[in-house]
Amino acid sequence: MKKLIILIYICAACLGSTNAQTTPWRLDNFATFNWQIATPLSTNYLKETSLAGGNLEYRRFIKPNMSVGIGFSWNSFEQYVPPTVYDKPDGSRQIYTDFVHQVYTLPMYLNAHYYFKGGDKMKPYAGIGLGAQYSEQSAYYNIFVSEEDNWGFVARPEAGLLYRFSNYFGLHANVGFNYATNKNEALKIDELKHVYYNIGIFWNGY
Amino acid sequence: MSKIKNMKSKTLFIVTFVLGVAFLASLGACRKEPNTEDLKLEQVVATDRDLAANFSDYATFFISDTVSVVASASTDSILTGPMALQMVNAVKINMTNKGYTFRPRAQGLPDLGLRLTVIKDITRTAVCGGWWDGWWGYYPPWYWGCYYCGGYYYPWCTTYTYTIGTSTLYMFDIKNQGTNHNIRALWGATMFGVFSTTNNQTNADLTTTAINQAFAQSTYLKK
Repeated sequence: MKKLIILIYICAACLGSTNAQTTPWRLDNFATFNWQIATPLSTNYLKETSLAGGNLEYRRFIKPNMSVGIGFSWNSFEQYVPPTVYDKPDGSRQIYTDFVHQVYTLPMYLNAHYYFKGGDKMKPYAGIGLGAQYSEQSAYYNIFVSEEDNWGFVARPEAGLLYRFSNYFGLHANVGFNYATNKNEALKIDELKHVYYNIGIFWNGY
Repeated sequence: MSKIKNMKSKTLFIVTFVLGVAFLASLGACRKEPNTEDLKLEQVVATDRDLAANFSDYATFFISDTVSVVASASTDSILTGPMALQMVNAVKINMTNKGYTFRPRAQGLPDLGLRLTVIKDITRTAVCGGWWDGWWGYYPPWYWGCYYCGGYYYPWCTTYTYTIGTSTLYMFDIKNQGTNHNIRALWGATMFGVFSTTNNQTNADLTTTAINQAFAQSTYLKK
């Protein structure tokens, strides 16, 4: 699958390169589909980077250097916690088990971006997404699972880059910070934060 | 030209919108299912003590060589033989290592009585529930603080529902039964998890390991 994606990129680059050299780049609206890698921040529940994620966005330009749009992302974070004895503070109870901790996040947001001058092929940008985040938090032990789902407000400042292979197609990459107010009292989660890295393609609707 | 442009924009928006709506509708559908196979290798071991008990006040104990069995077949009330002995001996060895002395029944009443029960092949039925009932929905240890604020005290046997193999090992105060006018449970271990449906020796081994863990995590248990 990875080879196929790389091959598509190369072909698109070859096809697009000649076109791109002669045609001025115009962006009117575009959609972008991305593979998303994410690293959770400041939670003891889990810390491992997740490769299971994706992102989908549509942006429409309201000025030559400014766009507004809509976006969706998802991430499955998980981490194995080795067998441990958990003590109740007064010493009356102990539980020994191992766990698989999991957090699933699904932010959906409206976004706004500002685009800088980056040359003929490249367009760097910075922006923010604001919206809501659905999340599920699960603790698996033996054959059981304790699970809770909730909603929170989400803010996603980010910076990225568009690199065109042709007028209609190119590579998209960005890095951002996802902050959400999802809470889980049982798991002592007051917020959900992660840094994300997107890499994917964009398709220019112009 | 303008028409073509509008059509492309429209298509792009519709495609993104449809994908987005499908995405929203599915919510958890993109969630990756974790691999939980390793979690089944060991049982969950939960221990509970009476905080008022002073375990050094007791010297002797007794446990039967048979194990109570709760199973779907009405004839399976007691487990005897090598597998029962394996589990009972694990209790005896751990108690001896903690400084207590085994007192056979013929030598009179012991200070402590222990009872081991294995619940197997039960479709959503079990005994000796109580404090861990709240555990299913709330991940330990952080939730405990509040869950027990309601004045809950020591558990007594009752009926709950499971779909798994559960073993319980309870320690009772025989020494003070006359003074207390009842037999107080001083300590309990509940060991639960998936059981093999075909190999009882595997289940006995799982339970033996869990018994050892129950004593290991109960550091306050000593003469």
